[in-house]
Amino acid sequence: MILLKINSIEINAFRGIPRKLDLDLKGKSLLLLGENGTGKSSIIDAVEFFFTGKISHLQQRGPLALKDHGPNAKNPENARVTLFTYPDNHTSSRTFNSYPNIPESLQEEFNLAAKGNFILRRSQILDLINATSSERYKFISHIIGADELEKIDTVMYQAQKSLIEEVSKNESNIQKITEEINAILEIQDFNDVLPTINQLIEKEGLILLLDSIKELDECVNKVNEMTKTSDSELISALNTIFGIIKKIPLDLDEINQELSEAENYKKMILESHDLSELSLIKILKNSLEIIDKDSDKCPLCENKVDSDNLIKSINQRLDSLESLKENKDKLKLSLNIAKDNFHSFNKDLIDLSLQINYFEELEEFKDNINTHIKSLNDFEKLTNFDSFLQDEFSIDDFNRLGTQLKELLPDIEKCSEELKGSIKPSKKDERLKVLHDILFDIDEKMKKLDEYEQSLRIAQKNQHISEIIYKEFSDIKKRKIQEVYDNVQESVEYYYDILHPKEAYRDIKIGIDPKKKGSTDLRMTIFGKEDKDPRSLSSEGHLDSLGLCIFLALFKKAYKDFPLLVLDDVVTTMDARHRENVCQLLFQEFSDKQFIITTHDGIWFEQLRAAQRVHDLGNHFKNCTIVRWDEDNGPDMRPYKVRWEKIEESIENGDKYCAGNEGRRYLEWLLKDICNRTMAKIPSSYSGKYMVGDLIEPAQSRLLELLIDEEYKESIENSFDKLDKTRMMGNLLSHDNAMEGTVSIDEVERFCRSIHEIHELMLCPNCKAPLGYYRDLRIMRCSNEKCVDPLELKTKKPKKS
Amino acid sequence: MGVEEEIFKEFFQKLEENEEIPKAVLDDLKTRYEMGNIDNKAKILRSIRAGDSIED
Repeated sequence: MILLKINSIEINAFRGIPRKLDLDLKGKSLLLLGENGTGKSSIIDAVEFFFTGKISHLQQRGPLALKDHGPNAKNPENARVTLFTYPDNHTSSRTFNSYPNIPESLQEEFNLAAKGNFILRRSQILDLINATSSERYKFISHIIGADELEKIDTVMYQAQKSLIEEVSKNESNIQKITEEINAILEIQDFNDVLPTINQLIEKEGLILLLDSIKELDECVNKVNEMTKTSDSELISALNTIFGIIKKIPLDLDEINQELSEAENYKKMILESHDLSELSLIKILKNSLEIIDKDSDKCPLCENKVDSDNLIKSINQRLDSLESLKENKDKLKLSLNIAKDNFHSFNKDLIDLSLQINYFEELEEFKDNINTHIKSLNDFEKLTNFDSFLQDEFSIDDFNRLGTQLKELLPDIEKCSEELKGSIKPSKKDERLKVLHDILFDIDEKMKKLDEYEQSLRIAQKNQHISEIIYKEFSDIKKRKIQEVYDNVQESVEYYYDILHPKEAYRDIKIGIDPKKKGSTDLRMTIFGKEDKDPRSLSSEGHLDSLGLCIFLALFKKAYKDFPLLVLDDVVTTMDARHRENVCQLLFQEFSDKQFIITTHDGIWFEQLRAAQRVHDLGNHFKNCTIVRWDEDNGPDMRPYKVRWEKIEESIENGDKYCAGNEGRRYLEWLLKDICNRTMAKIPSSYSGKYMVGDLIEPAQSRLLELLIDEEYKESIENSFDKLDKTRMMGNLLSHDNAMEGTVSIDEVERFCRSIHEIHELMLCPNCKAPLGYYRDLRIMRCSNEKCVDPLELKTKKPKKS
Repeated sequence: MGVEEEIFKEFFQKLEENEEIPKAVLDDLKTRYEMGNIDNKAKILRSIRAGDSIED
């Protein structure tokens, strides 16, 4: 695998970066210092967006739309992040509408990066430690690439549950249908179904006894045949007669309506032109095309004509003839509909005649109906355009036929009603019908029962398969993830030991909770108390460092060969000594990575810089500061300059204001650093902020209190004396002070050098790494473990507070 | 090999060794996994039911 490193990142119109920001890294790590709100996180967001297409913190707790909040508001259409790889300088860009073009050789790394788990923000550490066990499981699963597994585990479980429900539903259906069969046959025991059916059959004297319930279907058919008597056919014929009698008046009305419309059209046609004139339409249309309205000559005979009048006349004639054509078409349509109605009406009468055949009592109506059928046939034949127009079709004749029919119908209906009362099935037929209905009902339910039993067998088999599938998957998943945890756990313990050597925290356990689905339990031994939830007894700093260790161990496991590691303000709550250990952990265990580390904390920044020297990584880092940010220009990023170099430069240029201001900041930083390192007691401040005056005495006293070496103590005392004599210079220059003009550059130089002298005493003379205070060992020592000649100063036993 | 791949490899091996799992079910599950198509209940049920027609 080719290792991806970043040559440079070009960020344009993205989040808090309105213009192009070019981060030229040349494969080096980036250490970036900037106050809150100066665009540091926008840089991290840009890196995340480039690799993942997301900005994860926008999606947490009430998601915000990426397209609305990703691009910079001033210039959203130009939003783009471009990455140049190192050393081959492959260029690739991502916008909110396009994906980066990834070369084949880097595809594997980009796929890994797409999950975004090489970026750690402090909020994630808190989420990891303070999360519920299931949220923690999700977090870890995502990093180790197992987040899909929990989803699959859940759907397998749901499938199993669904099949259990299917089994239960089939069982319930079987129970229900069995009870229904028992109720129909009035029995208690389902085994009595067959004997009870045989008893019913036997009772009717039928020789149809069943050997098995499978024969029931055939038995039902036989009983059905027996119940089919002539009586039922006669009843059916009578019902048809009643139906036709009801329909005939409606048929007549429909025909009358169509004939009436046809008559109207006929009238309009006869009142207008001769139909033969319709052939003129085409000629008239053609003539309109050839007559030139600007000419006074006829195009055919060349005689003088009034073109306008001629065109007007032709148009009038055309309108009239087209109206005639329209009426002709409508008449044809009406006659077609009437013809269809005649046909249907005639069919009804033929059917009526056929049904009458069943009954002698209705014979007297038959001749009359047949005569009407014949007449209707004649009318149907005459229902065409020519016959209708030539008055061959007489509407009056048809109306007479309708009236005769309407007079006939009540007689047929009355006679049929009398017949209906006389046709009734026999008692035996009635009993056979009841038996048939019972057997039919039972047969249908038995068929249903058979279906349910078959479904039940399949569902039971599938349920068993689903149980095996779920159990195997779930067991393997738990075991394998626990293996990953065990592996990670070793690294976590090792890393935690680097951060907290010889402290009373150990036996970190990360484990799958066997009782809960998809959950991760976190335990450790704290002050001899075993298996404690870290939150119960650890400080916030300890919890943060534990979270950091877990993240780094997971990162190492899942992203072993991945070259980037991004840390966004991750050590906020840790004290100076532990931060130094974080530096050691990062630069010792992850020295092959290209880091992007951002912080707003100047002390942590300096510690990381010092650690770069200690671990010989100075050439691998680009250290930058964001000096200001504004809405129009975004972050103003500059290469970091060592403070002492800046001061020396200002002194050389005679710039006493700049030197004085830097010196004052230098002193403030140094005193805070000494107090932090030596755990000096500082009187509490109401605002939480400390000025130089608050820190000088605690820092000096603490050093003198701790150190045993008299010579070193004397150096410390002398340096602080020098500072005491000159520190007024810093104050005079750093505030609006009327006396500032009286301060000379030499006095400012003495002030700055006195600070630098104290600083030098706090560094190892051999490797220039800061001295650390190791309380348990009762020493102050060079913090660089690799230092070949480390300075080590004995300290007194700490006083009990 | 990632943890997910390891888990599925062992999972399919176990199912293969189990005589109670019809081959059609196993094949369907494998195909769905390879196609990244194993992430909802209906799909799992379809795999399990893939054995129905052959058994019955």
